[in-house]
Amino acid sequence: MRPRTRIRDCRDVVGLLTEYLEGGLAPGAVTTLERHLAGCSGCGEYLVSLKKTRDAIRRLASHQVPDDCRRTLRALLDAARRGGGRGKRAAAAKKPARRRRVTR
Amino acid sequence: MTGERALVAALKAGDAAAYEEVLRRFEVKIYSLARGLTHNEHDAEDAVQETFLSVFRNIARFKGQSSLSTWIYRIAVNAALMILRRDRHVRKQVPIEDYMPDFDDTGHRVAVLPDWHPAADEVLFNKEMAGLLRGFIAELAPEYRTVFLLRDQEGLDNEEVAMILHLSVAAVKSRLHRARIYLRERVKRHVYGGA
Repeated sequence: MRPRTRIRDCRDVVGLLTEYLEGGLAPGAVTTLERHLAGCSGCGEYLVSLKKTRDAIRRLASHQVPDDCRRTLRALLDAARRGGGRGKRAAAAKKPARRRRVTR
Repeated sequence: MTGERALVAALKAGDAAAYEEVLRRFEVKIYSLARGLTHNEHDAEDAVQETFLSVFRNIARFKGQSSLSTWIYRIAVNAALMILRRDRHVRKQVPIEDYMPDFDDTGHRVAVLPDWHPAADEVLFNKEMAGLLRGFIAELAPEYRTVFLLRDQEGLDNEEVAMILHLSVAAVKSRLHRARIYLRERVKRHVYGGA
């Protein structure tokens, strides 16, 4: 049986907001938390901004794999696949030297 | 080739199509994860190459005790973290405690700055600001950044992230919560010119 979630004040509420957004709270805890949110504008606004932050991250586009990285990857794997034990060494030998760090 | 068991069997047999299939399924995901973890294009490329070489070199030992996806993500995280350890000096990390909310003795939150500002929405929703957000994420300590990226960028669930990182689900939830709180606060302070 899931232990009862303690919700007494803003500290407890803020501590549960991620779990609440993920739908992971028990129904009783949701009721208590929503009652608090309805009466506490600070926590209500905090929830909204936390949700916006989460949604923004989820909308970040995936990085595209650079073409030269794709090509190198396939060459490495082809060497590894063809060579067995020797292919591992061949793949390692084919791996390009590490480039100098440029900008971050 | 759709089923994971068939894919793994074909990989073990050295089937070229299976290799390509694994790349097709995972290379963008692994590259994005590696970019997020290392915050550097070249380090990400290194991590991706290390990951897939390791996958194909060790596929014979893959016993199916986790999903192929979990196994590949675990290798990728380790490869990226190894690179981060190698280049420890390159980026500042923030103490996450500095971004956690303060509460008074009665349990009410004490906000140092006004709580949110419409301009913060601009940071979150303007595509031009994506680089800024990624920079904020890169300032998280690796133990938070890893959980955060796997959950909120890669969209994995708590249980899978826990398996990848050998953590309890409770630890994943806790780190995700703190990472999200940090990012919210980081955006707010940026808007108010605090950092």
